[in-house]
Formats: sequence, C-alpha cells, structure tokens
Amino acid sequence: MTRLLLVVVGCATLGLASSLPLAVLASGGGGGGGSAPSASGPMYDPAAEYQKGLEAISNGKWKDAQRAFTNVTDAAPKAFEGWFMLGYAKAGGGDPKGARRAYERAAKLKPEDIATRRELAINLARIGETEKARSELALLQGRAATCAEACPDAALLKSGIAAIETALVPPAQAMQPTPQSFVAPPRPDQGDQAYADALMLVNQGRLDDAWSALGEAELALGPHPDILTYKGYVRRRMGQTHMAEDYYRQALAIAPEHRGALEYYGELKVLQGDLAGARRLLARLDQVCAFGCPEAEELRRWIATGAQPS
Amino acid sequence: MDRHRRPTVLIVTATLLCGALLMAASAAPPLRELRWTSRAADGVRQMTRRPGECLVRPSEQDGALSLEIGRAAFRSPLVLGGAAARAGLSCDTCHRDGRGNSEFQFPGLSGGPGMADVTSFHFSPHRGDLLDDPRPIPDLSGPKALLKIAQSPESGDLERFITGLVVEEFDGQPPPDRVIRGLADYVRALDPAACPTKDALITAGDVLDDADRAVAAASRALALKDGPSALVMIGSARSALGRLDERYTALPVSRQALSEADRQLLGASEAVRTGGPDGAARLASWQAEEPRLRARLKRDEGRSLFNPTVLSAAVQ
Repeated sequence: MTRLLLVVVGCATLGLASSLPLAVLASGGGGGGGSAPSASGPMYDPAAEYQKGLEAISNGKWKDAQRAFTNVTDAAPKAFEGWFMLGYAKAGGGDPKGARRAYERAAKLKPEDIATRRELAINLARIGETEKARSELALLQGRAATCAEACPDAALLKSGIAAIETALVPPAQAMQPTPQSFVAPPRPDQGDQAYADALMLVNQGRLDDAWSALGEAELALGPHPDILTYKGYVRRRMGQTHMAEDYYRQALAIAPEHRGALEYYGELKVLQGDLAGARRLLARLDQVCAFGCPEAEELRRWIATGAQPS
Repeated sequence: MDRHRRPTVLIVTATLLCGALLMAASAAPPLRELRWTSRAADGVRQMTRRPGECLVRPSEQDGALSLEIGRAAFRSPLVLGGAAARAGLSCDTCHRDGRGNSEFQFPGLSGGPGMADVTSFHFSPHRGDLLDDPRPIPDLSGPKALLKIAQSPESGDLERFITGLVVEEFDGQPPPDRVIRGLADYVRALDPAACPTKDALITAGDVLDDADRAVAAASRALALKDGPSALVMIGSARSALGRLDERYTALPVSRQALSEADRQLLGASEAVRTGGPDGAARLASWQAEEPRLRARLKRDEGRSLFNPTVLSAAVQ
C-alpha cells in the first residue's frame, strides 16, 4: 500500500509539474540548474500567462491579472498585447500610474493603435497629466480629421475622442463617470478563428488583412509563438525582412524548438544569402523533428536551391 | 501468491492511471488524429479500429513494387506539402485504409463530418474560390463508376489528377514520377469486392508493418537508383514510427526504441540524399533490427494507447 501511495504521490507531483508552463520546466531553475533563478530571470509561457490574465480580469481579480500580464511582459517584452493588457489590469485595479506606464510601452510598440492612445490619455487625465492627455487627444483628432469619417477606423476614432474628452472634464463637473472604454478582448476560440482567417488571407495575397487578423488573434491568445511566427512570415512577404526576423526571434525566444519559426527563419536566411545560418537552423530542426517533419524538408529544399524553390 | 502479486498489480494499475492522467492533463488530444475527428464521433473507437483495405495485389513484380510505393506515399504527410503537411494530414487521413472517413472534421474546412472543402484557401493559394462549399469525401474503395476520375492506366488521368491535387490543392512539391505512378496504382488496386466484411482492431504491429513495408519499398527504389522515391518512402516509414510514438507516450523504454529506430532512418535518408554508398546497407540494418523493436512494442502494447481502455482514460 505504501508503494502504491508513493506511486500516486509521484503521479500527483508529475501532474503538477505538467501543468506548469513549459518554459519554467526548461529553465533549469528550482535547484540543480547551472545558475541561480535570479540570474536566469523569471521565465513563463507568455501565452498561458496571457490566458490566466484574461480569466482573472473576467473574474474581477485585478491583482492576479496584473501578476499574469507582468509575467507576459517579462517573457515577451516586445509583445504589444502583453503591455496593453497590463495597462488594462492596472487601470482596473485602481493604479492609473501603473496603467500609464504600461500603455506608454504599448504605444511605443504600436504607435498607431487607437485603443492604446485612448487608454493612455484617459489614465494620464486620471493622474492629473492633462497636458499630455490633451496631446494624445490632439493626435487622435488629427487622424480623425484626415480620415473625415471615411476610413475604416472612423468609428473607433470618434468614440476614442469622446472618451478622452469625458475623462478630461474635472470630476466635479463631469456628468458621466470617467470611462474605461476598452471592450473585453476576444475569446480564445475567436483568436483561433482569426488565426485561421489570417492563413487563408495570406493564401489570397491579402497581406494587410492577414496582418490585422493576426493582431486580433494575438489580442485573444497573447504572444503565442504560432502567431509571432506567422507575423514574421507576413512581414517577409511584405518585403520587411528586418521585422520578419524580429518576429521569428521573438517566437524562438518563447519556444526555442518551434518548428515553424525555425523553418521560416531559415528560409529568411536563405533569402538573405546566409546559407550557413540556414544550415544551422536546419540542423536544429532535424534535432527537434523526431520522426521527420515537413518544416525540415521544406527548408532543406530552400537550401538546396539557394533560393525560394519555384 | 496473491500476497506477492498484489503490490505489483497495484503499482502497474497506478502507473497506468498516472500515465493516463498525465496525458489527460494536457490540453491537446493525446493523438493528433483526434484533432480532425468529429466531436460527435466515438473518438476511441475511431482511433482503435480500422475499416480494412480493399486491396487486390497484382501478381507481377513491378506492379507489386508500384503498389507498395503508392501505399506508403498514401500514408505519408510529407507528400501533401503546404499547410496540410504541417498539420499532419496525409491521403489516408480522409481516405482511411483507402476508403472514406465519415468522421473527418477539420476546423474551417468541413461543413459537417465526412466533408471537405477542397477549394478552400486554407491549404493553398491555387484553387481557392472564396466559397464555403464542402463536399462529401468519396470512398476510394467504392464502385469505380461512382468516382469522378477515370482510372484506366492508359489515359494517365488519375496520375494527372493526383499531381494536381498535391501541387495545387495542397501547395506541395510535385512528387517523383514513380511515387505519382504508385499512388495511382494503389488507388486502382482498391476494389469493393475485396473489402473485409468487418472492421478490425488497430495494433502496433499494423503500424509497424506500414513502416516496414515503406522501408522495403525504399530499398527497392534505391536498387533502381531512384533516390527521390526512396526518400519519400523513408519519410513515410518515419511518419509511421511517429504514429507509434504518440501511442507510447507514457512508456519510455518503447519510446527509446522507437527513437533509435527513427535515428537509423534519418541516417539512411542522409546517406541517400548525399549519394553516400551505405544508404541500402543502413536500410537493411534497420530491417534486420525490426523484429526486436516489434517485440518491445508488443510487450508494452497493453499499456499503450492502442488499448481502448487506456486511450479512453487519456481522452477524458
């Protein structure tokens, strides 16, 4: 019976370990690793943390949400959605200063994003930084004027401007409560659909639309290596190879064995004439792909051709 | 005797439970094929039983080799290319054992179970039509008159159709001529009169047979100095080992044996690809060692996901 208990306890321990983010298990932390945990820094599976954060928000657990989105931004500091949602969680938890900092980081990563500008301005207004809030307002007003209610973002610009104007009214005079106008992010299944849509849009050659769909997917699913890889692919197809490389590297930072990222990054290396770099990525793919995989075979073809195979 | 046996039985039971729970704890289904199996289907039954092939084997040797090459290519995800290959789909996914698949349901591609929209942009930029028009998957082993492509070898229609399917419908690379011919010959050899009357349990031995037959076909292709076809065959054999591996997730000794067998095949494919002299020898060595692998897998089979009870626990 004791032996049975030991097996069951062992099983429970393994079960607990299996529920931890993969990146945690791979970090070598928790004793026995080559470096102290503080040296390697906290490592999390950002997509899983992102989902935790969304769930905490839907349950009104703002502190938990803040913790989860902080983990996302630690693990994927270049992922816009992590910073945006951290701002949202900070604002919801009554920390407009923290929200402002997070939204500023989000705005640096995606300066054109209207929702980020809107939320940044609202939180600036909340902490009394009215001049800065007004300059954000002016930025959106300028875009709205250029758009003249004819662009796809017209409605978003209009509602954003109205929300900032309401936030800028001193509380004593305000007829309405200060808004937090952000609409809840899409559900994971909607993110899957947006990702599938993006794949089809790429095959139709509609790269801008594919890019938008990937943004939607990322808002629902967080910085997931599949999405980052495909963002890189779309950027490559747009001819923006440096951005493509950046996305592939982000994906590989989260998931070093990601087959798609290794393949596409290798193909980019071929296009850049770096065959040695492509071969190194192929060697990694061959290691990762137990039992063979199409990603390795495709990259092998690229390397053999020295270009994109016809 | 009971007193001595009991702890062992308990440990085995607990280990089985542990393995099943570990697999169930993961969000992804334990078998990749379940991802495109209708949720309304009895997934365990679908994964543990097969309809059986309706195959008429040709008597002459060349025809037999072509059929074996086609059979292996039919089961290899590497043949289709593009997004389908990356998802792990092969011809056999929609045409199980060369028949149909009434439970196939791929998100975004199937209206209902057993259907597929072959003109979707999902898999290829070439044949998309922006219409959501899934069609029933045909039974390739049904009456020939019901199939839309004429199968006479003289016309070459079937070969052209299969090439178009791989290259345009799935955005893959054109397979070697011998592989295309093999796929066409395999489809031609399916005959409704040869269908088994009952479905059968899928065993590890069946899947290892797939690998073994693919390796034998690779050796023969290599003897004909057809390296590209041999590579497709080795790829198919490796895929079969991968299908075995996912059924032995909780059984490290079997997995290790499978991994070693796969590494041998990777070495053989490298030798074939680079024109090295020992490709054939490596394949022969793999075949010589195959019985040991078979015995190992057989020992663990009852605790693997080939066992419907274990799979059922893992799926829940």
